[in-house]
Amino acid sequence: MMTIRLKINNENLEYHGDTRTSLLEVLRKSFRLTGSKSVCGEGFCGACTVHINGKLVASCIQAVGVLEGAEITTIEGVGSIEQINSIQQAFEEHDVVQCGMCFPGMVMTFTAFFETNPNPTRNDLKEFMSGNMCRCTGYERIIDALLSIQMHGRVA
Amino acid sequence: MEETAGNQVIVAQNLREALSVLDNAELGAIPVAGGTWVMRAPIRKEKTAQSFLSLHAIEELKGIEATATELTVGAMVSHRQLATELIDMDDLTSIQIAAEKSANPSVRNMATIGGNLCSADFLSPDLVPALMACDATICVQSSTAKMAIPIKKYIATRLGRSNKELVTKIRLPRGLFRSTHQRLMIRKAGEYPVANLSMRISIDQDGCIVDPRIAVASVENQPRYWVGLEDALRGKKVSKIKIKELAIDQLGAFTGRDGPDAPGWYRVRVLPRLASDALMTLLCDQGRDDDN
Repeated sequence: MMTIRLKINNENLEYHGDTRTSLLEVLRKSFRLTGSKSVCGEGFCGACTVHINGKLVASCIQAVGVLEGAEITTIEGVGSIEQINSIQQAFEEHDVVQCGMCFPGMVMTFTAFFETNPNPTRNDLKEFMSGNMCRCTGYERIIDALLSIQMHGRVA
Repeated sequence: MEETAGNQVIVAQNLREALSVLDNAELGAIPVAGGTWVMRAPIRKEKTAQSFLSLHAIEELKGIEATATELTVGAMVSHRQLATELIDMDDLTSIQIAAEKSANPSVRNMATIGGNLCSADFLSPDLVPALMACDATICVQSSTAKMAIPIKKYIATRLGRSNKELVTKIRLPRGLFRSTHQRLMIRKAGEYPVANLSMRISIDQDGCIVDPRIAVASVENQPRYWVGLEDALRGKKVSKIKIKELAIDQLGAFTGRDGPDAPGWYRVRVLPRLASDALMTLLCDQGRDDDN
């Protein structure tokens, strides 16, 4: 059994087990970080999106064995109950959350997106949303909420 | 590098280590590049390999080098990196578009050019037809040999190639041609292309097409050149080409595969439109069409 050292949401953690296991399974089952959702299992739906060393990654198709020393941010690490980030704030203000399954991934995707694209167009947002599926089909209101971040000049 | 058999990821630090792991049959290791295809084995109801040989730490497989006559791309270069670094190379626009439009942002961060080439059972690759249209040469290495294989031969043999070799880099000739890539999706997200087509042409001083290359993927089980349409375009004056008619005449070359996303006949029937859009884009818009 091998050990993989990870820094998850600024906490140093160790995983012991089959290193072919997906990061998503490790997050949910070993570390009880269940905010990342297990849905399609093939990197299409975006519900399991996390940041690995600052990069957007579908954790369901990322083997944990290649992540020795990696810094990982999950939905549990982007804000706090007292201070949610600007993506979460916009989603709450626009009342866009429906079943909630896609929202951790949506927040992770657009938190990364806004770091390099502070003034996106509606089309830019739609293009970047191609990896995040909302089974409630609430896309337009999500886009409206994301555009409000730009309009209000908030920073994620 | 730690080597013990079973249920693990082996991280090779260099090419020599990686090839020695592949030579060791007891380890039962399969090479893993970005991992985006291998990790879907359970969804595809396939057995997960005994060990994964991760290539992510191998410096020899990274990086893009450009000269006036050739581009060399390391096998571990990601789709995202390709999409970013090839943005101003008009002759390789097909590859830039394929890398930029394939899958979705998070998969593009992970998936590599080498992984895409080696995943022979992936039915709808974008980069493979783009590389075919650009006449890529695939550099392959085992512990005993190094080979440079034209992509046509590589694609024809990849299902039966030795599991002790690795794709190390891809070489692309550069020149006064233009290329583009067209793909048809039923929806914008959450699926693979129903059909995709890459085209590369150059035009001589008389306005005639020289040495056209057209590669098609997703329509059949393996990508292939559309030789009939290449022949029909070769030497034709661009001002007189009716490409849709020419393409319809050459559709008999294809036997479309039926799939849950589209029936085989549909994949074949959309090809004239993709070919027409590709040629019009090359003639009008320098290879780039924001709607594709």
